[in-house]
Amino acid sequence: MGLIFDLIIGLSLAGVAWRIVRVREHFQAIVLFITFGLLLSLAWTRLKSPDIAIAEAAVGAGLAGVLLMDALGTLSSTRNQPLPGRFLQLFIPCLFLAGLMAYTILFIPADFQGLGPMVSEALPDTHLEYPVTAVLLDFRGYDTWLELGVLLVAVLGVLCVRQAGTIKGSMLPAPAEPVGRWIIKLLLPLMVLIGGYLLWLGAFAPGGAFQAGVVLASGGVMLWQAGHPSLALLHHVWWKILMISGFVFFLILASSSLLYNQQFMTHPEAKMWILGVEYAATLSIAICLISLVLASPARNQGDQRARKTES
Amino acid sequence: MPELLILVPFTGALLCFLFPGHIRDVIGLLCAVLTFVASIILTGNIYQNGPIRLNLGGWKEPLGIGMCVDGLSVLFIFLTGIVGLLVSLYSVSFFSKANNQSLAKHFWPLWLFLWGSLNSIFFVSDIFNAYVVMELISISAAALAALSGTNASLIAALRYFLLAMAGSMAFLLGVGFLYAQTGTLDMYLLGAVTDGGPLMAMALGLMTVGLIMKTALFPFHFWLPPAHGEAPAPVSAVLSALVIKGSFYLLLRIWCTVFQDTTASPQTATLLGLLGLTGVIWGSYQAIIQNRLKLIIAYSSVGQVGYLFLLFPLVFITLDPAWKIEAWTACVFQTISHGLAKAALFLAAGNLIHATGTENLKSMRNIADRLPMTTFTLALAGVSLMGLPPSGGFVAKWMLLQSILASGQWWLAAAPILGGLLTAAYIFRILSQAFVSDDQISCCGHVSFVMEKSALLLAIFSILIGFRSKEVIFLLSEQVYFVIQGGIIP
Repeated sequence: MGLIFDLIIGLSLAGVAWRIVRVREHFQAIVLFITFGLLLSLAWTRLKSPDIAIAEAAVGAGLAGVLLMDALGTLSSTRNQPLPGRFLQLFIPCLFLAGLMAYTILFIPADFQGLGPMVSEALPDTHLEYPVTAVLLDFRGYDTWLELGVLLVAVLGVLCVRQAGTIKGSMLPAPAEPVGRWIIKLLLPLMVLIGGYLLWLGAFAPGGAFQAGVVLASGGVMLWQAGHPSLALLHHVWWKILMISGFVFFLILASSSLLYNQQFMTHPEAKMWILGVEYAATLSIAICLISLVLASPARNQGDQRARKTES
Repeated sequence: MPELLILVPFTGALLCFLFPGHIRDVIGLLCAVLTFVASIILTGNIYQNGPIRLNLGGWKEPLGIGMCVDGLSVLFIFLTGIVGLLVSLYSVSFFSKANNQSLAKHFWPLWLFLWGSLNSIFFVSDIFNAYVVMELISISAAALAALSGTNASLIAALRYFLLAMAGSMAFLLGVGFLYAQTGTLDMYLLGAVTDGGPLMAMALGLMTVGLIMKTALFPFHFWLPPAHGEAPAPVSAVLSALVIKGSFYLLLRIWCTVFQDTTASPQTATLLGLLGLTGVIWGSYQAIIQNRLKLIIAYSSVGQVGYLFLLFPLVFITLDPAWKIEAWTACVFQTISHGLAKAALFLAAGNLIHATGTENLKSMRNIADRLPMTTFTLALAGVSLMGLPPSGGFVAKWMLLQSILASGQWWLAAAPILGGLLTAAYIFRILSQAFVSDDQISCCGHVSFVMEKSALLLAIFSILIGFRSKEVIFLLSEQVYFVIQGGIIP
C-alpha cells in the first residue's frame, strides 16, 4: 500500500514539474508550482521528515507562491511566453544527467544511518530532548546562525534592488474589505496559537523556530493583505530590531563564548538560553519573511497605480 | 583571532543597517580597520605557529562543525584584509559624491556581510557549512552587483544570481552524495575515506561544476563581464578580486582534502586545465576588442581566472613532489597578485569614469596629463597582470612556466606565454589612449585624494608581493593542513 502511495506521489511530482516547464501561461505555472510544493511536503512526510514537510508546505508552497503571484502582478502584459526553441537539445542532456544521478543513488547503502546514532548518543549532553533541535541549535548552531544571516541578507538585497530605505515606505495597508477582515478575525488568533505551539513543540517533537516563524509570517502577510493597519503601526526602528534579533542573539552567544575563553559558539547550559534563541529566531524569521513579501516591487507599483488613479 | 574576523564584520554590518547617515561611514571604516588588523595578526600567528583547528561549540567532528586555519586560509584572509580595507576607504569617498549618496546605506551592510562571509569561507572545514557560507556570499554579492540600480545592472545581477544559485544547488547535491557515502561532513574525515565509488565520483563532478560556475571559468564565464562591469567601482573591485576567489578557494580545498587520493582522476584534472587554457585565451582576446573600460577589465578577469585552473593538471598529474609544490604555489600566488592588481584596476577605472564622465575608452584621452596618479596606478597594476618583473604576477607566471616545463605538459605553456602577450595588448590599449593629447576635451571632475591613493596603494602592493614570495611559499608548502602528495597531517 505504502509503495503504491509513494509511486503516485513520485509520478505526480515528475508530472507536475514537467507541466511547470511546458505550460505557456504564467498564472498556470505558478499554481502548478504551489501544487508541486504541497506534493513535495507530502513526499517529505513519507520520508519521515515532518520538520522539512512543515517548512516545505509553508515556504515552498505558501510564501513562495505569494511572492510569485506578486511578481506576476507587476508584469504589465500577461502575454504568453513562447516556449524556448532549444527545448529538445536541452532535454536529452538533462535526461542523461537525471539517469546518471538515479543510477548513482542505487549505490547508497541500504542500512545508511549517517550521524543519527551519534546524535542520539550525545543528546543527553545538550540538555535538549529532540535530536533535530539539538542539531540545529547546538551541534550545528553555526550553520543556523549563518542561515539567519542568509535570510537577513536576502531582505537587505531586496531593499538594495528596490533602492528603498526601509520597508516602511510600502507598508501603507490596502483598503480594508469586510470579508478579509472577517477571515482575519477568525484565522489570526489560530495562526498565532499554532505558531506558538510549534515553537514550544520544538523542544521535544517536530517543530521549532523556523516552522513557527513561517506560520507567524503567513499570518502577517494575511494581515497586510486584508488591509489591517497593525503592521504599519510598528515603528521602523522596531521593525529593523526585530528583523535582526535572531542573528544578534547568536552573535552575542558567539562573542560571549570568547569572553569566557571557551570554544567559539559554546553556549551556557541553560534552558533559558535555548528558549531565548528560539524566540528571537522565530520573531526575526517571521519579520524577515513578511518584509520579503512587503518589499516586493508589486507593492510599490500597486501604490503608484493607486496614487495615479487618486490624482 | 579567527573568530574576530567573522564577528567584527558581521557586527559592523548590523550597526550599519541600524544607524543612519555619517555614523554609518564611521562604523564601517572602523570595522574595516579592525578586521584588517585582525587579518594581519592572524597571518603572523599562522606563519610562526602553524595551522590551528577550532571545534565550534566544543563539539568534535563529525558531530560539530570545525574551522581550520592554515597557510592557505591566511593568504586569502590577508588578500581580503588588504583589498577590503582599501576598498572601504575608497567607498567612503566614492559614496559621498552627490549622485551616489543614497547608495551608501545599502552598500555598507551588504559589503560588511560579504566580508564576514568571505572570511568564514576561508576557515571552512565542513562541506555543508561551506554551502551555507556560499549562499551568504552569493546573495550579498548579487545584491551588490545590482547596487547602481540601472536596468542593465539589474539584468546582469539577476543572471549572476541565477547562475550562482544553480552552482549552489549542484554543490549541495554533491554534499548529499558525499554524506550518503561516508556519513560525515567534515572535510578531513572525508579525506580519510579510502574507497571511491560512483557516489564520490558523482559528488566530485557536481561540486566541481557548481564551483567553476561561480568562479566564472570558461565556458561559464558569460555572467561575469556584465555583472562586474555594470556595478559601481568599489563593488566591481570586490567582486573581481575577492568573490570569485572564494569559490576557487573552496574548489582547491575540496580537491586537496576530500578527493585527492580517491576520486580525482587525471582526465578531470586535464579537462579543467584545458578549460583554464581556453579561458585565458578567450577572455584576454575579448578584453582586447572591448570599447568600454570596465568591460575590458572584467573580461581580463575571465582570462586571469583561467590561469588558476592550470593548477589542476599540474598538481594532480605531475609525479615529482617538488614541482607539484611549485605549481601549487604558483597558482595560489597568481590568485593573490591578481586580486590586488584587479582591485587596483577597477578602483582606478572608477576614478577615470568619475573624472571624465564617460566609460568609452576613446573619449578618455590625455588623462596622463590630468590624472597622472591614476594613470600610474593603471600602469603598475597592468605590469603585475602582464607578469613583468619584479611584480607578484611575474613570480607567479615564472613558477608556473617552470613547473609546466618540468611536468612535460607542454601544451599548457601556451597559457602563460600567449596570455601574457594578450594581456600586454589590452593594457597598452588602455594606456595608449591615456597619452594621446587632445585639447578639445576640456578638463574633468576632481578625483579625491583618498580615491586616488587607495587605488595606488593596491597597485603598489601587487608589485611588492613579488618581493615577499619566500614567505608566501613557506606558508603554502609548510603550514597547510594537507600534504600535496597525498595523505593528511593529523
